[in-house]
Amino acid sequence: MQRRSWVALCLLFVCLQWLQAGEPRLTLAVKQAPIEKVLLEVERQSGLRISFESSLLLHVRPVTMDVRDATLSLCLYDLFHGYEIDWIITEKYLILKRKGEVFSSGQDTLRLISLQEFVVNADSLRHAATLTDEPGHEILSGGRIQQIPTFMSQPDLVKSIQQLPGVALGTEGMAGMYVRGGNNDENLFLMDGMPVYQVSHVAGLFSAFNPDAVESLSFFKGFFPAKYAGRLSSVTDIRTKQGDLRRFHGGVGLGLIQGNAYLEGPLIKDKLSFHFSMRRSWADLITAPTFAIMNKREFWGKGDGYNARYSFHDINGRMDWIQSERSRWSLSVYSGDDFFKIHGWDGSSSSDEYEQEDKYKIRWGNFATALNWNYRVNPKFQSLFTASYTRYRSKLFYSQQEHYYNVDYIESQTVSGIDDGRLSWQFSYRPNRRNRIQGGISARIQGFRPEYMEEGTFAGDEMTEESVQVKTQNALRMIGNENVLYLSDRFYATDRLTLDAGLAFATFYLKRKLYTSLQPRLSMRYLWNENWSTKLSYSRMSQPVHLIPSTYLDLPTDVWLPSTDKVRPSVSDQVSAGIYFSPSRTYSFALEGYYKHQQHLADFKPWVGRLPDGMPWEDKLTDGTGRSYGLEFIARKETGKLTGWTGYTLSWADRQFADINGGRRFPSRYDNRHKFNVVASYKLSKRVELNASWVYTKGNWITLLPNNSSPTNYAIRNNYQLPDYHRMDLGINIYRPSKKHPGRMGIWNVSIYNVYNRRNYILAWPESTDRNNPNLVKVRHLALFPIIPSFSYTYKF
Amino acid sequence: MKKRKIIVSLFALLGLASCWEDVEVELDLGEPQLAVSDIGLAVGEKIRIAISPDPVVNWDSVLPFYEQTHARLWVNGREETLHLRLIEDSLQLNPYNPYYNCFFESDCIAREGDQIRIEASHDGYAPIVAENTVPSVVPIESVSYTFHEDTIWFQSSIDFQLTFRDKPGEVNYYGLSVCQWLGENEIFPSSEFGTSGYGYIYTDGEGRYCSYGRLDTSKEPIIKFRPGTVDYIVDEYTSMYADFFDDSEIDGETYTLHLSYSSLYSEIQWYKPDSTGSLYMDTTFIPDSLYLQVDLISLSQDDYYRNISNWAARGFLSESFAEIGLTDPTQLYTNVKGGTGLLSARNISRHIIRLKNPKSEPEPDVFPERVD
Repeated sequence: MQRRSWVALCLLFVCLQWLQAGEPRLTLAVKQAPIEKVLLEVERQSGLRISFESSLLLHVRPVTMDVRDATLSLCLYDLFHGYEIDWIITEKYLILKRKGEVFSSGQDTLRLISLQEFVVNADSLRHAATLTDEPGHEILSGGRIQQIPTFMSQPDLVKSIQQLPGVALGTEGMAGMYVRGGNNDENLFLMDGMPVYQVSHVAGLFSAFNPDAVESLSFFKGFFPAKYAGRLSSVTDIRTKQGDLRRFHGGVGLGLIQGNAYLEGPLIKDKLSFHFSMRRSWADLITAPTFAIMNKREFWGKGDGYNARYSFHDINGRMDWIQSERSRWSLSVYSGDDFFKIHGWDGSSSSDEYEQEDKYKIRWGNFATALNWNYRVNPKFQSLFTASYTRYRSKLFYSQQEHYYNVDYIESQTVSGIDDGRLSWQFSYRPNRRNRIQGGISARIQGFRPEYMEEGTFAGDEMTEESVQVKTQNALRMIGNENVLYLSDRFYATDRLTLDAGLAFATFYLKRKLYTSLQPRLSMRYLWNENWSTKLSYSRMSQPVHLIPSTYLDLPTDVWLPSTDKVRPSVSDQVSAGIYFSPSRTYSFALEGYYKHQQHLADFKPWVGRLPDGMPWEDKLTDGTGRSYGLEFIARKETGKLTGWTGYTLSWADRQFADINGGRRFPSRYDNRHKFNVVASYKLSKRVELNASWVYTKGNWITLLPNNSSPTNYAIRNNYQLPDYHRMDLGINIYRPSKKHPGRMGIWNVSIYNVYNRRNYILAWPESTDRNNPNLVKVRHLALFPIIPSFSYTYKF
Repeated sequence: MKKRKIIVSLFALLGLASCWEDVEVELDLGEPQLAVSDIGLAVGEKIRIAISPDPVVNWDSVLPFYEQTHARLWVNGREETLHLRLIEDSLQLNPYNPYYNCFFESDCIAREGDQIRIEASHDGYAPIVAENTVPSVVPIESVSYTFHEDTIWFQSSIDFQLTFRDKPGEVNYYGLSVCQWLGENEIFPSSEFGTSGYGYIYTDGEGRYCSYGRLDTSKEPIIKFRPGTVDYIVDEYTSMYADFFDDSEIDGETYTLHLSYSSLYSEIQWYKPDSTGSLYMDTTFIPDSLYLQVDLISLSQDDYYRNISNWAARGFLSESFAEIGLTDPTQLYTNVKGGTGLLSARNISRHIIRLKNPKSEPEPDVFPERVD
């Protein structure tokens, strides 16, 4: 009997080992840390997404534990024994629940629940954890992005970030980002390590990031970890979704502007998965046949016709391979494109012998790919290799052909773009409980083609493709090389004091000119008690590439320009400090101040053309400084039926260039002194969710003269502030799980943009001037976006 | 025009139910400035400078304004006396603009290489300082041409090649000006205007009547300022080529420009208003010869930059977008510190092409006399 018991025990032990062999293994060393922070670390190490009902962790006390290479189950037991909390581990989720709570039916229900409610609530985990991290750091999940009501029911990543304090709205409807007084090009967007250069569609109405593909994003605006370099004002680090390793999921959606679809699933169970998503506008599917019918009916005149088309698309793809417990690979691909075309022809309506045909085409977009290899050498040492390539192109084409006895033909094409290839290696090392050392090196090659132009002409009897004489201009590509070496240490000096000290060393080389930059990054957090903390940080950033807009819009004709011997890299120094209060897990408050000083900002000289012409672009630019400072306040409610945040920003931002505004300081275009934000989400029931947002901001600055025609003698910049801007958006999400097919769900979204139809003027120009007083001008203000209802439907399976 | 309508329609479509509102506002335009107007320092002529308020509020107050303006001139470091001149007629640079009725004139004749400096002040305005150097002339070595006769509309064209040698070792800037002389001055009344069909007649600095047709520099690769793709989309006017260039590609070399000039008028029709104000044709004049004046202008760097800003201002972005407040208007380049305008300096090398007027030949008889 004793022998049988011994054998049974051994067998049980072996079985348990066998079962636990498949579980993630974790190393946790924390002291008096909030449970949310611990769970975030669990999530990061295990690769599972943690989901829980919002009030579940309210009574969990700060945690002290020190385990190495322990199984997930053991860690969870250590964390929650003594509490009425239980858990379920699925292939993708770790779901925390109350002990005794029963789910009605197996895996399908779990998947359904995780699709709908709990995923959203996981945001509270992230938000609370940010109280203990660097100043100016926000984390948003794909779910939170989808909650915020937006233009034409299209969730938008950049517009979600615009709802945060410190981020200016820019021009209404456009996706530009202006963070703490910075310009639009001062924001680094990384998608799985791939930089993205053109982040908008439709001249900025929508951003280039498909929320269906976004898992989460980290947004930095105050302190920048040493691993980030190359931009002055913000870093948005986007992680795309990994495919489910066990089952296939997907969804399709249709809105007023676009349709989207996604599919994920295993290629090899538990080893290799994929996630694919795409979206495409569909307006051209209607305009093309409409124009065809109008042409056939000679609507424009006999022999005349038009054809117009606009479309955009995004494709995101990702494959993940778990090679072993230590080794993981992922391959990400992104392709996004906009295409606009007008084709008109003038036939026999004007004259039997005369014909004319005009074509206009513009295409712009990104292609990016990244291969990441994550290798855990041992529980203390992890490394990440990344190889990425990004290509951005913008092409503007025009041709005109006239046929009047002979053929006269002219065509012109302007191409600009940037190719960016990068190799990097990063490591994370925890020698002991008090230190987390991170470091890395990256090498990047960038090819710039700022102002390539082709011009073709023909005059004669019969034209063929070969007979067109083509001349090129600015055909040479400029090759730049950027290298970054960084090292940082997060040091837990005491239980209350955390220090983050890092240094990045960057070099940029182009056309025999080498720039170097030493960029210290320092951050300190002091925890007064479990409710109060203060943070202080300093960051120096350098930016060797510039995107200087030719208009107030974010247009594809804007060109990325490198630093050269005539154009220096921009540099910024930013100090941030804040005080943070979190009386409970439900509420949190933060008050943060900052001061940022920028040098070697580039802008066009006021007397040059902003599009490619005969003047070398380097000679068109002038060098100046900028400064911005302000206070940001945010109050959040994380749990309960009603969640959301309200924020207020008081800020100043100005610029000074010797060649502009007579050398006098002038306000930055987006120097909006006050900004209020309210974002709220209310769960009416398990299936109905109401969302609302309201924003108020002072108007943007523009240059307004008695007569805005060019050229002008006035040396004035940004002398007029548009009227105040405010807007409310409402949205409702209705979740309809399928009764016949568990695990499937339809989601209706109805949104109203600008609910009370506020006329928010985004443009203004002079109409007439008083003859006796040129300063007194009648100004016409134009608002573009009235109340716009919209809806979309998404089906998930 | 058709192309602009397409672009405006697109914006209107985007706007859907866009709306507008007019509001009267008091703009901050900064302090009023003094402006140096673009009279130009021409070699061999007295130095003349016009200084006016910017903006000009009341044209009638120009003379009193000049009388209260203190201006000083230095040439090569030596101060020269300036006299205030008032001429009833215009300076005949632009007869419609009384802006140039007053000016400061020096007895000093401008020469190559002269370094000119002016200072001016006026109560209520910031003082201004402007400097420039008169560039040396680059002579035209030769001009050859091919005349294309148009016997239907009598608007002929001419292809011509202009050869010159750039001065080595220094940065040189050039401009081109081509115009047609229209005949002897005594034929035309001095105070009336006329039209030669498709253009207008101007008087040049020497009081001769000229017509400025279309100078086509498209075949000339040295002209780097070419229309961009967006300019082609807008309209033909902005798709014209520039008439200025620098010597970055031809430093010290002998170079031949290939140019074309169209709208050479063989017949001048002179119109007068009748008692009702309508114009009627009064005179038709057919000169025996056509004269084409070709100027190779040596520009100062400031004049070159001024050309660049004028070129930039005629673009689609600068014109249309600036007019609706989508971009900052292009500012005219200025070398006047504390003010605006341009202290211009240039030197001209001139060549006159004389052509037989094809219309001055007697027309063949449609029904020739029968010879038995």
